[in-house]
Amino acid sequence: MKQLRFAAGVLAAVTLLTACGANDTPAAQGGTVKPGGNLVLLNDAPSITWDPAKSSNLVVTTLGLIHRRLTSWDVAPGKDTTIVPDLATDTGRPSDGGKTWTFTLKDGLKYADGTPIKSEDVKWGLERSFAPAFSGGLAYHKDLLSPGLAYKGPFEGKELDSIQTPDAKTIVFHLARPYGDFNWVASTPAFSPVPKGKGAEANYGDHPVASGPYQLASYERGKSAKLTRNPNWSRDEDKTRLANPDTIEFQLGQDTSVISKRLVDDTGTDRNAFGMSFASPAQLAQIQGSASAKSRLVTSESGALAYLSLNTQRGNLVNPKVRQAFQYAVDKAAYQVASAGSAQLAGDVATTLITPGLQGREQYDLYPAPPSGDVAKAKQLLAEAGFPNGLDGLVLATRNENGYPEKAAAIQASLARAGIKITIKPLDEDTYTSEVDTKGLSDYDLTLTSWQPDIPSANANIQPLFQSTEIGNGGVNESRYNNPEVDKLITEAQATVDPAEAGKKWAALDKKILADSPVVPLIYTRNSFLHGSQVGGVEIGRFPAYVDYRKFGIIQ
Amino acid sequence: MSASALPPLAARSLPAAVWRAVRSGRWTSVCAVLIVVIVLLAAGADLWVLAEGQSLVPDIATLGPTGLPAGTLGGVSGAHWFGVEPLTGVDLFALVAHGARTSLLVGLGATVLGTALGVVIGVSAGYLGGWWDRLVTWTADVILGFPYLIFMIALGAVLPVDFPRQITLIVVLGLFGWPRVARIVRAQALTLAKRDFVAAAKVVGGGPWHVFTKELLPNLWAPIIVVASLSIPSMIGSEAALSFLNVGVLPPTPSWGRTISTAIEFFETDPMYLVFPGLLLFLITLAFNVVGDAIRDALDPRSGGTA
Amino acid sequence: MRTARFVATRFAGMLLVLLVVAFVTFVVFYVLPADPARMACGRPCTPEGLQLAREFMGYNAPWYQQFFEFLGGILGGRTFGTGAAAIHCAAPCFGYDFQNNVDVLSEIGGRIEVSFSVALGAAAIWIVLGVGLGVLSALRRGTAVDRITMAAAMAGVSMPAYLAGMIGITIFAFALDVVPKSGYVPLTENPVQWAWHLVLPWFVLAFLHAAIYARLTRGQMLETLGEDYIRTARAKGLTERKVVGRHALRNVLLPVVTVFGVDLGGLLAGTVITERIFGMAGVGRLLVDAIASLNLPVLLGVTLFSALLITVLNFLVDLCYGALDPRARLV
Repeated sequence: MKQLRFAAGVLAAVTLLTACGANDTPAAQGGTVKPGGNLVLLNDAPSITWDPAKSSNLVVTTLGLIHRRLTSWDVAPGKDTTIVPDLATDTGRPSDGGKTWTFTLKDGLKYADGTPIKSEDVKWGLERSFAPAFSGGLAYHKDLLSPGLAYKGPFEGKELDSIQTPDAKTIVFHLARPYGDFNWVASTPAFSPVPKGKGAEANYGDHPVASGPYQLASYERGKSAKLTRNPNWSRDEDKTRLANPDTIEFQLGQDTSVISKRLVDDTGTDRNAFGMSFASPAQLAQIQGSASAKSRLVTSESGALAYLSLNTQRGNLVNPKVRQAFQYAVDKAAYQVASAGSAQLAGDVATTLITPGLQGREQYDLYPAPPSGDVAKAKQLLAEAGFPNGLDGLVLATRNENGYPEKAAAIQASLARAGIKITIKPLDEDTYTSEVDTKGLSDYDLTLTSWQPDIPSANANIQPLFQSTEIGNGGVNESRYNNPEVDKLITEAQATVDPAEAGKKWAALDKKILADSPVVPLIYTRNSFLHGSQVGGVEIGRFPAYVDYRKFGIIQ
Repeated sequence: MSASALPPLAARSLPAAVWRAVRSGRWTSVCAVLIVVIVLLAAGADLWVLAEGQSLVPDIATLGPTGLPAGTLGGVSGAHWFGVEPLTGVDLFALVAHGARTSLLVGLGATVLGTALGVVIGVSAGYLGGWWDRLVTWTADVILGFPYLIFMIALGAVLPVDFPRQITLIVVLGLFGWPRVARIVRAQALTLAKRDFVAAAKVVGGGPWHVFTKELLPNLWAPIIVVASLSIPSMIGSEAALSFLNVGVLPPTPSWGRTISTAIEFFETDPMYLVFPGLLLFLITLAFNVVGDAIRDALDPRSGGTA
Repeated sequence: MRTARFVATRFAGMLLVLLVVAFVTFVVFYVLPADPARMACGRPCTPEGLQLAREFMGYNAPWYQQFFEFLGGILGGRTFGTGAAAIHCAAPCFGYDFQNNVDVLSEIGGRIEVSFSVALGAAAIWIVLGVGLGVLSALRRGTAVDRITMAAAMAGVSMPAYLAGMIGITIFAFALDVVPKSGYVPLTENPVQWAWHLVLPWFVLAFLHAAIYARLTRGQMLETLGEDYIRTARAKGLTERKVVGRHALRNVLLPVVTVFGVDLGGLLAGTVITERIFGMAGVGRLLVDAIASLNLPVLLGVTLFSALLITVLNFLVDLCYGALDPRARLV
């Protein structure tokens, strides 16, 4: 889909150029992406966390503009996302079966204030993330470097011994167990360097030291943030960031419908603007009605896996055949419409657990059926399992916002066709987390939710959802899937260092787990974003389903 | 509120007075009829929807390629009198009819609870006086100062999901509504308590309960009815506001407030989605206000009345 | 002496009210099953991480101890955590917002201007408009002016705020494009822009609230004009203006003042819906965001703030009442 549109776009551009004759004659709406200009990012959130220890940002969005990590992602439309070096010279050298990882920093790296970036700064940044005052960000490294969180941060004079810095350019990690994806983990925000000894103040995030192409010039909570160029960053040795605009301005706390209207109207400085939040279904309907707005809408190829999880430890759902009936009963086409109004904007029907865009993923379909489901087959499976009259009294838990109640209603209606009667219980976010994710035993038979990994690795798709240690205590194994064999295979795959080999293992796990039918994959949720007419370079790769902020540029 | 005394009204003529009030003006009668119509709509929601041939079940066949209703005016047709809801295709008339039920149930329930509590507490405070009066006044202050939104959200999170939300709403709105009633009733009770006939009753040996039921209450019906009838639209509005903020009744139970909340985003592409529930909410509030006003004019002739 | 004692007792009563409100809020949120430390836990969140976060934020202590620590913080400030990364919250400390790294008092302080600008500006307009129209209708009772005003007032009273706001924005901001679509400009930055951005919320709110006052004033005016002392004043030969302005208005304003106090307090503290519709970052918006992210310190702070406003306004109303009506002077 995206490739077709991309090709059509190229064709149109070529036609336009040849028709015009000259190459870049800047007409009123014409021009090309050039360095310079002021980019405006419109955000509905009132604040941004610029402190790397407290951030859960993806590599391609906000924080990636000012903080570099050891590794980074190469993201482009139409291809899988791959790992590339950022501050390091390569993507890490594993040894000792994957228990030790060594990185070497590039030469001549400097912060925005001119001081050199040293390996001890990377170590300090990671140590800092263990302090309770600064926790809250992505923590994939924590249990690997300090099991049980025994280490409590460097501010009381203690060091983290599992990280060694033999010299100013080398950093060695000694993990608690072999972990093949550690190079991916090294791209999370906590791996940004913080000058050693600094960053003890709680509001370090208001004036962090930048290592990326931009630095935080000003930040006013609830209002705005402004980024200006970092003079000590060079495009030559940072291939993943284009850093086209001269300045980037964030406008915070905007109302989402106002953002949408401003971008649709596309006047004045709004032409240089981009909406950071997804376009909601109502906004999408409005955008589809305007030719200009429609051309400025960018939709991802795929995205988070939306799924229905079945509580494998409760009632009649203990029977795998009963669970398999759900795979055929669900109407995924109605779910698409309930999500975004049309299948094209909602996302493709999902049949695997690993989302597209991750290396090693294989496409397959264990339960082939048309998008609206196969009611006859569902009924047949239920009858075989001993329930010719269907099921009754099942309760579905879901969140009470973001359209979940409406989507749940669509699921409810489709299951009713196969004689499965469910009641819906929408819960607010915190109650949902405590009732469904924290309790060991759940009172709910079904949950409707979605999952997007933080790192583009199949590990992040499978382990949090299906490893038995993730049941309760805040884990997201909502289907309460407990299979010791699968647990063993997960640990094995996690320890595999060679990506190709690991990929094969994860794909095999994908099929194995889905054969037990603990969840019904629904769609790979597409996200759509709107931008002004003078913003170029708006691209979304296969993963993540967010625009790559590093590729923005102003058309001049 | 002025603490001037009301002319004592014999209890017998109260229903007659109300009836007369309702029939007094052209607009008042229209509004009274409107109330009856909407009450019937709410009470017989299932029947009306059956008559239309629809239900609350989603149906994406009624939607166009972008998820908006196919057809003009949001899908209004013979089969769907009010059109359909975008993205799901649920019949909007069914949503509005069942939403009326929620609004009226919670609105009337909260009014009854708040008024009952307010009368008992207010009269007792005004009549008994002393420390009880001081405690009541102070508690009323505290309750008036507490944002009930927070309370509602917290309760919603704490109570088991099976617990019917309508009851929670009625209880919370009623508990936060009694101070308003109590203040007015207390003022009236204070003046009445000084009147001769009450003193006479006490001299004869009537205990507080006897005085309350036989002497005070009959003379309080007028202000009670006035404040109750003006409280109904306020409670309906509160329920809608809470549902608008997603803290009211939970989906799939329909509610005007929640439908309006979603419809606001669709206003430019499908305005009828907002018009139908919004207009009905406005009309029922207006109707209750007009009729309540008329009742007040009839029972408290010194208020001057509207044109 | 009497006044001083009265003020002192009322002040003590106010403090007691606030204490009770704080206590009730504390208890209400303590029993919530959700865990406020979860936000500070990170992803993935392990039980150890949660425990560390709870300890740091002070949520490990039993609720009464937490309440006393909170009260202690108001008097003498508080420190969270130990060592170089400890967070100090200077007295009076109404809690610390860990998610945004700012103490609650400063956070609310930053938002007060917005909420007050919206509320006070609208209040000024609606009080003048409402009372003025009410008096006018009463004096021209039965005429077209009276009928139209009262009909409009009826509509205003019956319309929910979010509906009116939405209609206002759609017509004036988008269709006609005469006012800005959203946003707030601080008064100190640009007074003209400040007022310009507030025009729409002011008039929408004024329309809704003025209706109440118009009806109330009209009713009270009609009642007062029928009183004996007004007849006496007229018989004495005073001009109608003096009769209305000096004699009748005083009586009329009594209930108006009462309602105004309660109204304003509610608006200042509960601007949740207004701020959502008009996209303003005020105290109401802070409340809604804090509820969504279970930001307990902020919730507690905002609840206390709104309770404080309402009690103070009640107090002021009672004082005004005493000034306007000597019979009602309180002891």
